[in-house]
Amino acid sequence: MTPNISRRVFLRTTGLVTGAAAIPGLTPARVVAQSEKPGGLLRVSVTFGLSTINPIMHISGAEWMATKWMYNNLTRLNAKREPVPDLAESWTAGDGAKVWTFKLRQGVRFHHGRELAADDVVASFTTLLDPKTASPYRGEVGPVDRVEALDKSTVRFTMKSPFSVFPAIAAVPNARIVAREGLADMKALASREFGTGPFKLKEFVPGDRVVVERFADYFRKGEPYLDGVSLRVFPDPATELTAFKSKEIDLISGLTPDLFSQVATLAGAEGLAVAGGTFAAVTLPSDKPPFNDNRVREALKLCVDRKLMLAAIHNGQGELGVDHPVSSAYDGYSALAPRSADLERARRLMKDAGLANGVTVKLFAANSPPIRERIAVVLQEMARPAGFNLDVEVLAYDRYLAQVWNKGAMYVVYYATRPTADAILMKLYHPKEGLDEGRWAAAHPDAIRLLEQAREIVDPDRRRRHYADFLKTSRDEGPFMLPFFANELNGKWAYVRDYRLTPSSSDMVLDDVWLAGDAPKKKT
Amino acid sequence: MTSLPPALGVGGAILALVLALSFAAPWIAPFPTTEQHMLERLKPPGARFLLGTDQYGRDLLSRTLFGGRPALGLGLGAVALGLVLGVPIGLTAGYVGGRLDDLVMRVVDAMLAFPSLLLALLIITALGASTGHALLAIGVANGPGVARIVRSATLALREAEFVLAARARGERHLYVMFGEIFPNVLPPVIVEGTLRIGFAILAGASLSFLGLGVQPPAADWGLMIREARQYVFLSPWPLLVPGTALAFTIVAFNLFGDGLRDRLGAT
Amino acid sequence: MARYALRRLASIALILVLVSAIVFVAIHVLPGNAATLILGEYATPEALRTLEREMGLDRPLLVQYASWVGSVVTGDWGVSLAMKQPVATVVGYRLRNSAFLALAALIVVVVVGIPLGTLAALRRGRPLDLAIVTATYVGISIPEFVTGLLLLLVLAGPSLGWFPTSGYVELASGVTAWARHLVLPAMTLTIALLAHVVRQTRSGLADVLTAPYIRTARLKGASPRRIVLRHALRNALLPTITVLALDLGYLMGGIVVVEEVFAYPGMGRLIIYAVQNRDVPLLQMCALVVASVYVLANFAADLAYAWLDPRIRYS
Repeated sequence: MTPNISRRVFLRTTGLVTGAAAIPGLTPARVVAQSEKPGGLLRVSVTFGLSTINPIMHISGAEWMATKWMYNNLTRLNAKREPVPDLAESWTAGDGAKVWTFKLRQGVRFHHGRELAADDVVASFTTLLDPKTASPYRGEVGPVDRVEALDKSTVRFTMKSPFSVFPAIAAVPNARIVAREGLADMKALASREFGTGPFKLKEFVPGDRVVVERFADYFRKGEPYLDGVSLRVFPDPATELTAFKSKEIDLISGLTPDLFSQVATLAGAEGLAVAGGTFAAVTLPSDKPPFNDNRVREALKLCVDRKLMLAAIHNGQGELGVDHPVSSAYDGYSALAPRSADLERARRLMKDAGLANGVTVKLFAANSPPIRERIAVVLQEMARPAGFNLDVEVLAYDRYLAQVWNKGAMYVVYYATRPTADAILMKLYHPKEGLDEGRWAAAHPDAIRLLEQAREIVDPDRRRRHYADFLKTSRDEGPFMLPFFANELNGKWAYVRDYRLTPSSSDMVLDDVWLAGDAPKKKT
Repeated sequence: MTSLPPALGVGGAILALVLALSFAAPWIAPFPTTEQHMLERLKPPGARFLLGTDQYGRDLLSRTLFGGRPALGLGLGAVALGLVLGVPIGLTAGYVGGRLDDLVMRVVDAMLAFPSLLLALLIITALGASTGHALLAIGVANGPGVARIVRSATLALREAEFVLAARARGERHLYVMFGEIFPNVLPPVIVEGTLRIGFAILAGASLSFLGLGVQPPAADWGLMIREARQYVFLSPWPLLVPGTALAFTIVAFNLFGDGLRDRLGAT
Repeated sequence: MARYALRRLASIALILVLVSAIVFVAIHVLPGNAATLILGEYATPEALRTLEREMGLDRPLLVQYASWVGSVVTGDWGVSLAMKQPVATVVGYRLRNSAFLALAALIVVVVVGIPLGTLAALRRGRPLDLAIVTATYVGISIPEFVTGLLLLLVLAGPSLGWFPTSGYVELASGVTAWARHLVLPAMTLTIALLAHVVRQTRSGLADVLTAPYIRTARLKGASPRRIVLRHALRNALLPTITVLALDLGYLMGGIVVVEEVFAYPGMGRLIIYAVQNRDVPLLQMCALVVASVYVLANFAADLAYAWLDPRIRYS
């Protein structure tokens, strides 16, 4: 492990980003100096996904990346996860965050020629929210009641209840703005695109690759610099890395931590690491024994040597967690006292709870992504000394979905970084707006109310303080053992310039990325 | 005459070694198979971990010693199941003949035409990926082939003198089938069975490699290789150790089966 | 002969119908359906219901099957539920790739195996024979995923890097690149299959070489090489062909593992994908294609057998 390199790179990347974020509104196009040649094909790799490019329906990281290049949203998130203008140049809140009005940029063109209008925004959101569309993301954009076009370039969103984080939510991958002609046929949208983004679709082979090419009329004048981008799916990280080493790939998205050091120490290559919000956690179903007793939950949480777990499972690439899902990458983050393992106390708590002889519980883990199974296997060993006999069962993902997921068992959950703390907290804990996978809400209505109230607070600092209370409750009484957050890890060659890794790596902005002269001249 | 002269001996010797080591695993393995040593992950062979460690820092020697058990159990169990299914069907079809034979063989042919991987996949997805279900899938896939062979052998013996004599004596059909014909069909069945064990072990390991057989955190050669794949460029040992064990075992079974076939004179 | 062919074709058709029915029933017994898989952990009961209705998954099983049969008969294989692409296109692409791989392996097996087997037969009992038989024997006993991973480790690893570790490149992008991606997976399959062909050629040739008509030719003064090439080899090829046909079935199992190891976009991985995603239209076509290939290959082998040996007649 080479912590020095990653820290240096980390600082360098965040330094770049804060600079750009300081300029709100339209970022002026970079002046391309003599030594910088625009053009070239950027080849990106992933190890999973890419079955559709329908921006209303897609749910996997690779697909989000592809549509990020071909479409725009109303807003996008900067490195501090604050919403900044994308297709909307400004927005205002009204009626205590119950109404949001967005003013659209002028002169934005779709790839097929027509100019963007408010009707397209209305159509996109209406389709997303329509129950008949059955978009998996329908419930993830907040309590939107209606969307209206006030005029050609103004859109008004009326919420059912105050929702202060809506501008950040407007940046989610499934809220891409699609031309209304494209929305008529959902099936066609799976393989064609109707976007305004910096790149146009050139080729799409489901499960294998997507290739996009520059859109000359992009509204960010002068961008993109690249001629095109190709995104390829590799079966596994080892083969992906070998392809990278032979320069078949320029940028590895989602680099695994075991291979990260290989990239970081490779001459001419860089490993990028950024604190993210992705995690795998274990649910402790709190509506039935043994975990309905908080002493038992606490005992399990005390078994875990988090640093060791992070080292073993994610090669140290991450941030330690204290059993709540809001990492430092989130807007609602507050630093709380860290947890360390304390087997003595764990055993005492078990005794107090009447489980001095231990307890046997079944722990399920889907086999994908691999981190789930690893957490389960390591936890099994770590929890044994305190009397937990965890019977680990690894399942194929399809089986896990049908038989384990959200059915109140003890299993390993996995979540990628969400746009706001509200999004991940509601998803995990709220019984109506989310899944309440820990079956905990019924016994803790006050805590749930904290979450509901936070949504209505417009001032970000006040909101953050509100969340801090919830996070403490989650740490001390919550139904999740969350050991760490995984860093977002990318690997790239040095000739890929001005690329910034965000805490949500599928949120990949390539508008202003370019290739230096020593990049290989490849066709595919 | 297609096999090496000392096949039976060499095969038998390796087999005996593999079986002995697998049996003795609880006594000779230096570490428990699930014991993790986080700070010694993916290490090459050394003083403490004689054959190196895997991605969780578990001892490869211990895991490989224990890893033969599910592999062997799967192979032997699956073939046993195939025999249990195929022998009665083949005997009946060959003995009774006529329309029944036609019908049964039609079904058997259809099953043989059914891609065995697809069959295994469907069975395992329906029931869940596990050692037991993998055994079931491979056993069921073996049944038709066994049935076919038993049927051919039965057909050849149906008109044999001792069979006709038994019928003339007034013996019941069931007795003739299982009492007279079956013992004579046994040699080719044994040979066939032994030959199939090697391939059943291979199939079982392949299923585990695909994630459809033995599940983590168990120690099994196919599963170990599956887990090793991710790290193959970081350390080849998690691949090489169980891979070698697996290869030796399958070679041994094949050698033994071939030698047996030559010895017993069947084809 | 023609009557035999027709009867075989009829039973092939029956087998295919049976396969499609079994697959259909089996996949509906599995927990979850395509809609559950598509929505994944974003599923809500309403979203699920809507999607199922849209995909026609809420109709009675018999209706779904009949509707599928109906469209297939008119040549419409439907749209993949998980990929949202026409099934025929997806399967065609993957099948072609697997065919390349299988063909490459079979060609190498024949081109390398038959001479090796001949050599072994001619030098029966001697060290060369022993070496050849042992090597091929070991090759068939080692599982493909072990052989494949070893080849990957050595030849595609960071030290040598002669070949790409995975994937596939279109012929259009260059023959060398295309070929390079085929080498390691094809080699893995070849190693697994070589033993069969070598063995068959060796034993078939060995038997034939001691036959009376060979001795006659020898006495007539024909050179040993001519004897081998003209007379012996032709007869030795008969069992080799049957073995190749049997190999096809074996190949299909081996191909799945090899495709998985090398991430080769072929039929094997497609089938696994289809089952895991409960993609009925896709799985149906895959199953039928695979079953057809298998059954037709066997049929072709029987016909070739008859053609090569005039003594064999089917009634």
